[in-house]
Amino acid sequence: MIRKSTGEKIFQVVNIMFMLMIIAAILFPLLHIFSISVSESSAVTTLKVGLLPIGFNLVAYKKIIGTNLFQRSLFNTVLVTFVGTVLSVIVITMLAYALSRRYFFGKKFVTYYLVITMYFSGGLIPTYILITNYLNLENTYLAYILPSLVSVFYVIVVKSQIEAVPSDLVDSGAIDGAGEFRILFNIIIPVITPTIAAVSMFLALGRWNMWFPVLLYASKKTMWTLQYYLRSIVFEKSLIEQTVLTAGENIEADIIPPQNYQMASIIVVALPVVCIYPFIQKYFVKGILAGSVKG
Amino acid sequence: MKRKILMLVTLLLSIAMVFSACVVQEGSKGGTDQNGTGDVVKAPDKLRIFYVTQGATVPEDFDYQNNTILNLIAKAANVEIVEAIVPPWSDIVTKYNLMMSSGNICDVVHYNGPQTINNDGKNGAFLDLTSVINNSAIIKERYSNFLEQLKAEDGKIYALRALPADGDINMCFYFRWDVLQDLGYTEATIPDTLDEWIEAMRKLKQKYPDAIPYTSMDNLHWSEFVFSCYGITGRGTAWQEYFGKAIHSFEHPLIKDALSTYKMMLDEGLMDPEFITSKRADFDAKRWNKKVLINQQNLGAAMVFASRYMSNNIPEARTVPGIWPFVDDPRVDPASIYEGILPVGNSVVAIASTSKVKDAAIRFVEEMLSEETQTYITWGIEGVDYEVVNGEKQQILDDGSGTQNFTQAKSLYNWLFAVNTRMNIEKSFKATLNAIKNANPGITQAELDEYSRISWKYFNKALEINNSYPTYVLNKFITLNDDTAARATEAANEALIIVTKAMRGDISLDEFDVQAANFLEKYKFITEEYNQKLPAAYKLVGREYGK
Amino acid sequence: MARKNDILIELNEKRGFKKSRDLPIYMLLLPGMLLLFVFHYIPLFGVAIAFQNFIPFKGVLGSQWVGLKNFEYFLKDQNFWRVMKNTLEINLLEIVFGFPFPIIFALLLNELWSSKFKKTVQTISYLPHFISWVIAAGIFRSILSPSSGIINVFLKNVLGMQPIHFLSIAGYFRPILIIAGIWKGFGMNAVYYLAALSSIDAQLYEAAKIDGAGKWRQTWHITLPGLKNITIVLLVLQVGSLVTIGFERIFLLYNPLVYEVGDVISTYTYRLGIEQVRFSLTSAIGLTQSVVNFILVYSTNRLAKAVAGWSLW
Repeated sequence: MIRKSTGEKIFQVVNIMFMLMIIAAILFPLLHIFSISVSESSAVTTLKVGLLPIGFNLVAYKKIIGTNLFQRSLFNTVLVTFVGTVLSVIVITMLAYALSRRYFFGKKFVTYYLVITMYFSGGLIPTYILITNYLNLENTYLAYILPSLVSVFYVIVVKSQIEAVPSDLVDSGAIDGAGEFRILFNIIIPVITPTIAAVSMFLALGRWNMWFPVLLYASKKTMWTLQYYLRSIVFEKSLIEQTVLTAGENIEADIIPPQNYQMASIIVVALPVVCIYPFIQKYFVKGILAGSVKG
Repeated sequence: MKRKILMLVTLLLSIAMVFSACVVQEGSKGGTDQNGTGDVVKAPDKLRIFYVTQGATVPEDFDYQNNTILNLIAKAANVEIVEAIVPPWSDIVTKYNLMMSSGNICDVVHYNGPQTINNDGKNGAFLDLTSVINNSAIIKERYSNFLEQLKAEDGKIYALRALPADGDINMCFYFRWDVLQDLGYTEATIPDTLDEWIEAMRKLKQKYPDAIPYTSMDNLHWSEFVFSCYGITGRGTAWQEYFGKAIHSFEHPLIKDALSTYKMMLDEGLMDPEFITSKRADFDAKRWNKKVLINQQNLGAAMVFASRYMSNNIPEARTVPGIWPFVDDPRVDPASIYEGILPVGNSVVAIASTSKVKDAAIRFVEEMLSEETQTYITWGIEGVDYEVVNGEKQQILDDGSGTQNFTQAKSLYNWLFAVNTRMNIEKSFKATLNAIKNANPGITQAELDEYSRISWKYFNKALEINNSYPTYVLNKFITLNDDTAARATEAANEALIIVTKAMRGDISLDEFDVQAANFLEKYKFITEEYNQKLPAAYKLVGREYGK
Repeated sequence: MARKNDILIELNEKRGFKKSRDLPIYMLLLPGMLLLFVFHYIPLFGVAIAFQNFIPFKGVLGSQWVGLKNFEYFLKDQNFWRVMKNTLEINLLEIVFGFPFPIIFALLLNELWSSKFKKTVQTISYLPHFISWVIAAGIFRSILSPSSGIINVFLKNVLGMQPIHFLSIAGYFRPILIIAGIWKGFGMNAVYYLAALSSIDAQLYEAAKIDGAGKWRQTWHITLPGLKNITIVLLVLQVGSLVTIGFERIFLLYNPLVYEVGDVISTYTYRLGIEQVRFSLTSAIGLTQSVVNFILVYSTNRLAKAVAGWSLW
């Protein structure tokens, strides 16, 4: 064991302090938001809440979680995330495997066909017209799932991983007379499972955080997702036109200060991911590395 | 490789052709396929509708697909609402434009802004209703006095506009009467001039350093108070009428005075420095908790606003409608602030030209104008929302939440019956008093009567003054060309930046002059178009251009 | 190496169409290619509206063709050049400040003695990546608020300063944008460098120690060269995306007062399209951006291949 010099020790202390600062920079904002969301409303409006809650008050949470709109949005988000991710992974793996073959007729064409979609798109309006008028997918989950089902970037990631599978392994399968599908399912997939897991995590996170398609394709509240729900609460903006309040605005029994409510809604939407991520982060690391390691 | 790319392009192009051929077929099919039979059918026709809620607070959980009141109206018209598209208030422009761009327009469209509907109507999106009106007894009866005002520039009628309301003033504000009293004001000393209001704000700030006497939110929303006192409308960023002509606010001789006043208020802490980034929720937080003294609302809302304070747990709040304290200067044109008696509203209903169930759509619109509908959307359902006592309708109030079906009806406000009728306001004010009583168990009837008296006094005064001015037409009866309208939005954004910077003192007033001059030069064509179209608009309300 | 073997086999591979070999592959390709065709290639014909005076209701076929008028318009428009400048400048700032941060973080993290602490820090550093921009922007807006934000409350109560309007003063907006970007992304970005660090041969350090090289010299001569390749690749890729920038981060944080420094191509075209209903103009700008972007990505990709032997496709 080599003894550490004083200089190294000082450096180590400074380094640890630096890391603690980074942890604080990440956690303090979240903690602050959380504290506001559970504090007594009087403490919130007088700006007394710092890092720790003052008092304890779950009214905002109860109200948010109790609404049908929230429950429905949560359900939609989970459904779209799950189904979308599973379908994506299947299609992406199939594409990646096919492309990893050394040669087939038209491989170059297929490669260009895929890569072009990464950089050129028809834009908002043509896509919107297609999906609503010709495919009639407005207010359906398919409108959230299908358009972004194929991510060419992840096709390339998975493809590079499949190419890294020793060719002897594949060839032995081929010699045994196994078809492409059997090679894919019996030989390739078991080997690249970590990559597939990683890619699905990325895809799932993207789906979980999605709100723009909801703005476009949902005209019913029953089709909202969590992020869109959150946006409607936190970023409700006034229009340029003059808004007028109607006489006889309804009288709701509503005693939650908006700030409390806003922060609670942020926490409620963030919470599932924050709880899960420590367990899945290693897949993300793998996914990133899979994307960067290429022969 | 090059050959492959060429192949790809050829393939794609050929597919494009097949695709567009399909589009053509589909398009022509839609054009000729009309349902003109006119026979009475037994099964209700299926109708899709698009409507906007005018920003009314509808409970989060409210299901627009299942609106009891709307269903009753639909049933009477023998139609079935299969889809009701009601976008969130902040997304209505997006959703409307998306719907138009898809060409798949709902059978009946209710929107906020006749200009948009008229322009799209000119492009063929909406049915010309002229013959429909002539053939329909009820529509004819309701609109006989306003036919000219319904016409678009091309002489056709694409939209029915909301019927006039006898208690309607869009530009008004309320003040916190309880806060003024707390500062030692009495009815006799309620501020009358801008200076007196600013003095009151100073006193408020002195007594409660934490208070925010005045605030607004993003896009300068609700920031009009000072501007209006100087006779500047549209938040200092838009075109307005000025002594019978159209000008941009930047041309208004008093714009710099208004901007200096805002700056002074910001410097003294009378105005919320955060006004530019506040979203609706931030704004509300301040309104409820920071003793905001003044807030812009239409007259009807200003009258009943105390109820919202009650539901946000501020039982001491009493709101009273205010009278604009115009500054004493001959260069102020109060007619550009007060809107006068409105012949028809800005909320419109149109029928899609592509609708396959036009007759049903017409029936539905007719039903929207019926007596029954008027009762539904003003009172709700008998026995549930109101009862008839001695031949008079009385709202059934059940401790604050007593809105029941009324809530559902509210989302239909300003379809064709305007909201702010005197009757409606009276009814809502009663509910407000009830809410105050519930929130303040110890309150005496005398106190309520006193509050009621002062509210009505100011209400009547505001209404009377408003009605003594000619009708404001600029944003009601002038439709800019498509291109100009788009550029006007861009211009408003630019003006907003200049105005806000000048308000905050980021730029000096001299610098403001330079930027304003550049701006006016760049968008001169918009001023010209407004002035060109103003005479015709004035004709509709019996005014003369230049006077 | 497997590669060499592959090439040999590939040479022996029969060219041209071979049913038994190719058909199953086509079956695998079919669903993905079909989806891309429907959702990417069909809408691609919609770029036609860039050459039209597109009126929504009249549709692509009914609208008037105007040639390059829309392109001329935006090239002459000073607003366009402002957003172009902003896009480039924000990206450059990102490269100058945002890019080195994960490297420094990775280097320092690597020096920690306690592996448990190291792991904890690393796990926490990933957290912001998992939070959506809607949430992150909500948090930033809340803590930066001049009246109720904790930072300004601190400035006021502890330092006795006037509140600072972080989000509505042009001078603060870009730093906040960059910091928000770093906050959300540095943990995940550091993963590349940590992997590169762990793949450096430990024997090199041992040898250096025997030669009497100090910590700094070890870092200079062994660690940094070990990071060279991945750094070049990532840098080149970031340069490749100079004309694109995340929409959400800016869209959710900006306001008219900071358009001057914060409005970028994506937010500008969004406003043009949705608020002003100028679909043709939006489409023309979008098309131009795609082309420029493609050229940039293509050339930087070639560069990365040449310099570091790595490419995206």
